[in-house]
Amino acid sequence: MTITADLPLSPSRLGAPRTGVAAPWRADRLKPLLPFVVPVAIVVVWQLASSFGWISSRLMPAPVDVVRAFWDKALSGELLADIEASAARALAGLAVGGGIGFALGLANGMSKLSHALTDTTLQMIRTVPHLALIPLVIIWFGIGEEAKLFLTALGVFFPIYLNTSHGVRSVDPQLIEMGRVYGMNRWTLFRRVILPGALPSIFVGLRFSLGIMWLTLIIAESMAASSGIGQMANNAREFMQTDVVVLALVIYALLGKLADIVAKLLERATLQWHPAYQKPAEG
Amino acid sequence: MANASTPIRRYTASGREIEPEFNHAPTRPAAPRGDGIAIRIRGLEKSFGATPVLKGIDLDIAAGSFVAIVGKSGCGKSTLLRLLTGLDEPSAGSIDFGDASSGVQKSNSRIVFQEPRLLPWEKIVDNVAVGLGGRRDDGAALAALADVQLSEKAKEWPSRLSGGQRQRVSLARALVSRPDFLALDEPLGALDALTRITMQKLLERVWRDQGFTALLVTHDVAEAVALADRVIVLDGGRIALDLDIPEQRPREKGTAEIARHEARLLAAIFAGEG
Repeated sequence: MTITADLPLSPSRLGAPRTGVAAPWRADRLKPLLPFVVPVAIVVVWQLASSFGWISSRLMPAPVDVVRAFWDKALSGELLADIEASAARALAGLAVGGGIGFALGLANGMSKLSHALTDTTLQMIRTVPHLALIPLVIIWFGIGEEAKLFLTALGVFFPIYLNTSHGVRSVDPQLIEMGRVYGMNRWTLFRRVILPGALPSIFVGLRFSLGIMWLTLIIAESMAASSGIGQMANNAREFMQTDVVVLALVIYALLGKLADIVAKLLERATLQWHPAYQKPAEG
Repeated sequence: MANASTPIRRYTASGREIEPEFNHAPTRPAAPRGDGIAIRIRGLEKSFGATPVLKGIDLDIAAGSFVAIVGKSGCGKSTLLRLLTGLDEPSAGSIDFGDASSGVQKSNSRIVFQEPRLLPWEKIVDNVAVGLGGRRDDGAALAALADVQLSEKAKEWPSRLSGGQRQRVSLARALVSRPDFLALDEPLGALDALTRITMQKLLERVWRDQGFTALLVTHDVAEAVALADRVIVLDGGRIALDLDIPEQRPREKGTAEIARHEARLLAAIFAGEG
């Protein structure tokens, strides 16, 4: 399809107002690229600064060095093994902490007794930054996997707990009354009314948790580890391999973004009913 | 009996057919008409804390009749409906369903709320199936949707429907289990005036088709007179007026008899005021 044939369609394809009368297609075409302009510019300037020797490669590697480090690590299989180790830790922490937070959030959202019994205690623990527990955690668990799992689980627990219990309690009471009047038993009421009603809030908690999950893992892995991205960065520091250190940062950023995308896709798939996820009604 | 006739086409004085959308018989073969259930209320009282809301209600509602309850806000009409549908327990008195001769029966009652109260995360047909109480029967749900002329919306999300359409879905949800008693708590209160007229005709039609006992709580005197065989005025927790509306169905708006009924009801509602 030529550009001229495409012209009459363009207003309906993108909601963007058309600027410039002379070449209206240009703004529409380039719009998706707009968010990438600044990052690309930064990388270009950074590369130029390194090439001209304005930045010492001992302090900051050139982007091409980071790419080369990536290539070397990827070829040796080291990178994949480290990513696997980090991802396994992150997911295990998310499963344990998120699972407990979800269960307690449901219980405290639905049962006044459970809420009265545990909520104040949990809120008190929440005010302690979980990373402040590191000294204690090392004494309890040493510096092995248990310590990392514990810290990650503790970090992801609270956002999921808070948002689940809040979501359950903000389900429309009129819908719950309707469910009772129409003879739903407790399980059906939970499955068809309470859980779907709380789901948008639960997803908010999950996405908060994913951020905390990576943050905690980075700290925990630089404590001490024999594998993982944090350990890769720590080793590289000892040998002043700044390119590998920066590579580790980039990998963390990509993993974090990936987790967020997965959460977003899950959200989209389960919240199709929500007006925010629907195409605007025709007519 | 008023509700024993087959569906009738309605015409204006000039011979024009009114609201053809709801004039036709249901598109499926007529299901066997369920029989409405009779209700016997004796000495019914309800207090919330120290505040009495209902102060001794005695009322007999004939099986299959259409009764409207009107009154000012706080007169106890919604409380009476909640007691009849088991949403609240009476403080004193009794409610019996069915004929005394055939022994006390349990009513299969359904309620239509002022708000549609649809589950936003379930498709329309699944929302209607909620009324089946756990039984999977998409055929019945689709048939009930056909009764309210919304078959084509079966696979839509509730957020895609208009307010009037959502309330029709909630009516279908109430009717899908073929109740013998349908309680309507200001079901048209949130709708615009034109949609209300359409909904009133729909309500009258399904009631005549299915034969349940209907109890309509409303603050709209004209709506009560248009729909009910009998209108009860509640005032201060007591029955202030019990008025039969013996007019032929379908009723034409604005006739002298209708106006006279409305005037009597309004006079009873505002009797206590200067």
